[in-house]
Amino acid sequence: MSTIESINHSLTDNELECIEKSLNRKPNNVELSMIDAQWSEHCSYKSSKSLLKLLPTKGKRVLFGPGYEAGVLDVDNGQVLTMHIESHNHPSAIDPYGGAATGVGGVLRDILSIGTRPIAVLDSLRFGNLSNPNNRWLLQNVVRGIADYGNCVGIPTIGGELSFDSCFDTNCLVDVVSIGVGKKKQLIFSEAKNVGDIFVLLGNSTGRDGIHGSSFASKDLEDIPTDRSAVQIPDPFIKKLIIEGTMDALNTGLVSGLKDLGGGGLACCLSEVSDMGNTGVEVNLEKIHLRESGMEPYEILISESQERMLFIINPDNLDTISKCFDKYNLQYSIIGKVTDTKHVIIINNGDMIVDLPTELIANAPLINWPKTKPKYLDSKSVSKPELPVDIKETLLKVLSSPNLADKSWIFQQYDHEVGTNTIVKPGESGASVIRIAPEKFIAISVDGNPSHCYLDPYNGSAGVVAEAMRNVISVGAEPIAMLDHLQFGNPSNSDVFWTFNETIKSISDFCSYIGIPCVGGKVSFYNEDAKTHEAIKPSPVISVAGLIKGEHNLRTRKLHPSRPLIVMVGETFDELGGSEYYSSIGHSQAGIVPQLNFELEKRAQKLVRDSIKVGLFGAVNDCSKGGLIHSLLQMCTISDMGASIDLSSIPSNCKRWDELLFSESHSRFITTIKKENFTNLLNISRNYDIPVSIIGSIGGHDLQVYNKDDKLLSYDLDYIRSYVYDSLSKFMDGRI
Amino acid sequence: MTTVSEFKIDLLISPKPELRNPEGDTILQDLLLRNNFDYVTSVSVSKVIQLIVKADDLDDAKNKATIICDELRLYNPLVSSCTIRGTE
Amino acid sequence: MNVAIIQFPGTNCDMDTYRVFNDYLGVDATLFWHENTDNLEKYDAIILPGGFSYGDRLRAGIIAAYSPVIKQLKKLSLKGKPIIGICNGFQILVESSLLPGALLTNSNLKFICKWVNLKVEHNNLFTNSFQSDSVIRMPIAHNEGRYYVSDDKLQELERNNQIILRYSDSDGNTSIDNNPNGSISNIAAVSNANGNVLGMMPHPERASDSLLSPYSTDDGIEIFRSMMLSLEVMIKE
Repeated sequence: MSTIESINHSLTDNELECIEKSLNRKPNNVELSMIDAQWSEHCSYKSSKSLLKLLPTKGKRVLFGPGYEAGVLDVDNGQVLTMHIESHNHPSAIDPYGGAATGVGGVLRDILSIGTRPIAVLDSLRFGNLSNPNNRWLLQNVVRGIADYGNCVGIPTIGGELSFDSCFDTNCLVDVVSIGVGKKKQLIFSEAKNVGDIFVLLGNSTGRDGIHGSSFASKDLEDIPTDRSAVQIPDPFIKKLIIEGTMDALNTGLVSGLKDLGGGGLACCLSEVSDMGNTGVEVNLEKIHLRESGMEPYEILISESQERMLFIINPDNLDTISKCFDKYNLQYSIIGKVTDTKHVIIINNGDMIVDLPTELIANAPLINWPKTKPKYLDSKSVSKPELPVDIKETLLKVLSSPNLADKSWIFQQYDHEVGTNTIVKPGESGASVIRIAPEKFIAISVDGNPSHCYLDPYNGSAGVVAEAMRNVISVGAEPIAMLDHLQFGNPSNSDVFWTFNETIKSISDFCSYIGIPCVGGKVSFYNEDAKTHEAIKPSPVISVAGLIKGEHNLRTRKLHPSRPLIVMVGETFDELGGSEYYSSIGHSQAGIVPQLNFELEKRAQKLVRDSIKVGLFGAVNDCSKGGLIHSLLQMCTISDMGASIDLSSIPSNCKRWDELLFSESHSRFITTIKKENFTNLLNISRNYDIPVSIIGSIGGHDLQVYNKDDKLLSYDLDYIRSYVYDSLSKFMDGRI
Repeated sequence: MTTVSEFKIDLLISPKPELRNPEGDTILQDLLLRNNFDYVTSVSVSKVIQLIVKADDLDDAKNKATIICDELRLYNPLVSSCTIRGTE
Repeated sequence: MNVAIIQFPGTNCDMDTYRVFNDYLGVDATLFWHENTDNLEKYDAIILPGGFSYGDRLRAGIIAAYSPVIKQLKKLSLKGKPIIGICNGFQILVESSLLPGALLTNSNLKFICKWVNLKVEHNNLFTNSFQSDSVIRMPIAHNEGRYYVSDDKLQELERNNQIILRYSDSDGNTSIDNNPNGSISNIAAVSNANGNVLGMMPHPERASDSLLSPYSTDDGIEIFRSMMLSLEVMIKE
């Protein structure tokens, strides 16, 4: 029995009362630690669970959605695609290298624990402005952490996104997406379903690392422990061995259940497998392979030591399974068994120290926080800035934002080629593409837009889903599923909770309308400045997966002389609120955010998908941050080919050049086409009632912008590449 | 006699002993024990940054080195410790 | 015709390499676990693929270099068996003294993953498929790829035609501008004095499928094909 008098925990009086009532007694300290871990926001989703139910989760390819280790999609021929998203925001703020690396480790474990092999990783990162050296330190070490981990474990990091805003100064966001592939018949679940099965704990020894990690993620950074226990040490080498050992074990067909140990450690793992299996568990603590001697039982139970998996197997199969682990010299211990008690029972050297009904631990009471619409939303300005005098200077200013910069400083540190299946690589499009079988490919994107979401949570959030879908469509894919990661401030702040509610509503509304299911996600609260309690801007991050059949359907941003005409699909509106343009001219708190017209978006997406299928389009790129001019330049710089466009031919009611160039309206794409195919495209587009217009042509080595016959500007591509789009590497290499 | 001399200061950046050291563990298990050097019971890997510092005396040099460590974050105090050693 | 692809704990380019031999070249390839005590002599060639054997701990390739399978490789190398070490494989060959020199941390201190141009400096068993002085393309992906030898040794390598590939521009010119990692004399691949052991930092298995190449090239497979063709000739003789 633990001799500690008082345990640090975050349970409210209400929650403590609830526990006592259910048990008919006071819980002891060890039991309290277990419940504290499982009832933390990070593990229980108590503030968000009821709202998350609004998200649509069914789809024709969906086999398993939220509530499982990863989302599972049927991608034909007995093959499944799994996908999951994780974050390590709080750990990365204090130990960016270890926090980011273990974030990658965590998401890989989820993909592995449902029985599939992880095949790719993407990252979504947000930091404060790079002029602050602390943010450069964070970015540098987060990228190094993700690189060292992903590269060593041999899984390609194939894409991602990065943006900067002062609201992330003390709360960086580090999100990691992973996808995996496997066989439908080899899927395995985190359930202790057979009474008599035994638990084999595989991997790292359990130590004092990461204690209170999940409740740490559920607090403001001001309350971080001053001792080292919140830090988690990454070990990608052992992870690689665990992946191989696990895949070998799964291939025997003799594993009954599998779960990784993540937030809340063994405590959460045991209660969840017991809950999923509708059984009980009994574990002997002294059997667990430990790193340090003298650990208290509660420490063993809530430790978040990395790289541990729980196998549930029939005891007759132990010999066969353990051979899979012995090959790689992996440590493991047989720690307990599945019972029919529907309780979680922990025994330590013969003494029963925990006896809790599974139903109690696994079901934290939900919290319904109050909501109030933030006042700033009703009082924000819709004023427009004055038209700048100098178009050339304005263009350079906007494009020099690190948000729009070339990201090769980052992705060249990631091995994106290992596996020999990365077909569309970082920088070649807004989504990445990985081959999963001959002539079968998966497209995957990850996007976010806190500026839009701050000024208009409803349109901003749905807009992120639309952008992520457009990116996947632009590589020739049909979107099949999405993941959401909802990152907000403190839920007890009624403004924050109102915004959270709006975000879920909007994402649900749009996904239901357009027919894309949500197969998984995460919620991360408590992202606010420790001293001022100012919350981060609402930061939903969305990842969309798409399916491509046939090499001939693949597309990228790359221009080619055989398709010389540049076509604008969709209409540009005067809605620059939250745009990169307004941000770069100091007008960031004003304006109307791009409104997402659900119906228009659906038609535009279908038009582009169908046009790609009949071979009309060459290069395809979606228009979003930075406006159509940035979208066009992305295509030019990666192809090393110039282009010339005429603003007067852009489908739009906008009168000003800055609105035309920099508006971030939804439902737009830039594509290239052969001259003889344009009539065909025009006819198809009339069926969808989406405007298409030839706005220019490729050629030369300059970007030229005209308004009818007036040449407004001309820039050499090399200049743009070397002096404009290089702001990220300039900051990080210390040249600014 | 000048009052400013140069001192060699070594900053030994070590992983905190209570934290895991995967690199040390691999060297112990897969290199030393596997090749029968079984009289080694523990390995941990550290880094040395050597500075030549102009200062009044050794203590002054060490103080200067401490300031550099803290301000420029040469090590992350959450995961590593830094021992400062110096010679004339 | 058969090849052995050696696997260490942490090797992660083994399946990529296996696929090129087995699926694209139609050559019998065997994944050979480092603890396997079978005789490697029965294989026509041995490949040490890329990855992070032992997590690159202590130094990349050093722990694997002490593996019993490497003892076998040393004997086979003296008998003229063709051996290719790719990336981490190159690091293991250097740490085992099967190849001269050392592979140090990249001069920019970061991992680099990108496609590079390589000038074929010398046609040998592994590069006979290329025209002399041709420029080929492959990706690199490494943290410790900066090749170093002493000046004396460098002169010896030049004299003996042991420098096989150099980082270059698309026209075959070598300079500091197209040296991604600071390797001495832009060296990307070297052979032993006898010419049967090749160490290369670029990944030919990642450049064997034109769909994977930004240039739609597949130069990588020619490295393996050269070796197989040379072996066929040798076996006939």
